[in-house]
Amino acid sequence: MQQTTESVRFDHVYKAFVARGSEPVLALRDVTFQARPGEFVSLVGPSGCGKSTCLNLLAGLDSPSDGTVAHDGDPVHGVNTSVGYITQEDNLLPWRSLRGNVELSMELRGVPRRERRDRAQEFIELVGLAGFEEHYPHQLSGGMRKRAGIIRTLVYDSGVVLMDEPFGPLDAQTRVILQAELLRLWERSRPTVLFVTHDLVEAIALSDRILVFTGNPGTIKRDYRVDLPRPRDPFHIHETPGFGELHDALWSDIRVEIEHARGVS
Amino acid sequence: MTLLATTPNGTPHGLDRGAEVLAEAGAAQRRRRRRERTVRWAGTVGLGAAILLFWQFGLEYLVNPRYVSDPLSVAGRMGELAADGAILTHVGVTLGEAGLGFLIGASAGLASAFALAQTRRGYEVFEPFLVGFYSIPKIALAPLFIMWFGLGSTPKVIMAALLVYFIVFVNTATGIREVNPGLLRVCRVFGARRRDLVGKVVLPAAAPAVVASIRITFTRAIEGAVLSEFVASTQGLGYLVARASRAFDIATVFAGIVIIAVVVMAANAVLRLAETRLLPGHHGGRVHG
Repeated sequence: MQQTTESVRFDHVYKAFVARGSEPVLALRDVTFQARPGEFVSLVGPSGCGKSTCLNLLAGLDSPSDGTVAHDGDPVHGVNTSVGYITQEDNLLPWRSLRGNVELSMELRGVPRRERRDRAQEFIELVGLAGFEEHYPHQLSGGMRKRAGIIRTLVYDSGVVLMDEPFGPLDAQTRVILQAELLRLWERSRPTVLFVTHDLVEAIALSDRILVFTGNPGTIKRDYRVDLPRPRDPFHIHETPGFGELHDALWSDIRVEIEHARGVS
Repeated sequence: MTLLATTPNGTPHGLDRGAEVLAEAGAAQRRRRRRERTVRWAGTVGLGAAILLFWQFGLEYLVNPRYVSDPLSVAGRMGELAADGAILTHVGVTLGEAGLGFLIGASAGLASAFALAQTRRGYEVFEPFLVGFYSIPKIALAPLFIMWFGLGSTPKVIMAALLVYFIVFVNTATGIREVNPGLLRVCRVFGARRRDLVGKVVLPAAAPAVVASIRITFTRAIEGAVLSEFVASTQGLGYLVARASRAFDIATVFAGIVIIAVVVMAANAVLRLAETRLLPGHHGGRVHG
């Protein structure tokens, strides 16, 4: 595959963390993978295996100790403002209304007020939050805050979206509803997505590919292709032919890693 | 597999008691609240009356009645003070000193906290000195200030400013340092420059702690002014109380104390109102002091 068609490229990436008063820890070891434009890639693996570190490297919030992290062919140096970054906590500004929060990213990028307003409104309506524009985050439910956090990132159409366990703290029903909404939003503009999750069903329902990480230090153990047809319906994903085998294979890969991580620590 | 599920036979629509049940629950809740309010008021008024009655009739058996006066004499004395108008001058002088000291102390506290919070190292260098000054009971400095700045209002203003300064400084610096790092990271990826981060994230995030600390420190400003007036002065509420106590005019001492309490409570009420108006999205910040 030619280098230029890759949206994301990790090339023999190592990352060491030095915490004060303790020995340096290797978080990532020789991590190499690529993602094509528009590919939805999930990163799964035991806790603390460096999945989130991968996202931080691509966002430029951290730099690799060795190797190269590239976005659209260019190595990442410093904060990479051409990605979208969605964290597990919704990280909304509590003193801004829903509308103000959705407009924030565009405001920081200098989008004119008029256009900001229109685009924000379009996305707010798209996820069914119309009527809540002037509500503050503490007046919204967990699911609504999550929607707000997602659309304020998707609203500026970045080519790559990083999502770090975005649905982690939600209840099971809300999770599935939001997975369906995320797929619907993703189909609109088809950005490349790196999606960290612990939920294998979620990973299968959303992804084109699933990277299974080992723990301690994090390396890529296996690279699964998810060949289930799109558009997908997260409510019925279990019934799709092929789901069972894929889930079993993922689970047996992961279980070894979790047991291993427990034995080591 | 067949679905094994049934729909329970509900009451026919006309007989549904949902609305009535809701109305009854609402009415019961209102009754309960009214009753609670009555009990609370009765308790407060009763306790207040008991204290005043004990002061009027019982306290003389515990301490020398010459030094505690009694509520009726104190009330009478307050009436006299109000009538001759001199009290307004004293209140005005004390409030003026406290207000000026408050403004100086609060703005200096804000400015230096923002300056130091820009760099973590800067804060670490200054911290031991701040802790040291913070540990001094400021009132011990009052006699020095009077020697340095005379009997006028300057030493009172300085004392008030000093008491305010440290509380505002510590709370502002803490508020700035405790800004959720996740917010900062997300905003940096959104393309925020340093100026944006300070203006759109750090300042608003620190605002509740800052505003709450500013509110509670007005009391401290009045305290600083009154205490300095105690030490040496020619007017003000502290002067009124100190002069009366040297003359064993106990009714005036108590009258002065009550007036100070009323002034402080009124100032707090005004500031609390201003706080809720200024920061509608918040529920009051935590205050370190």
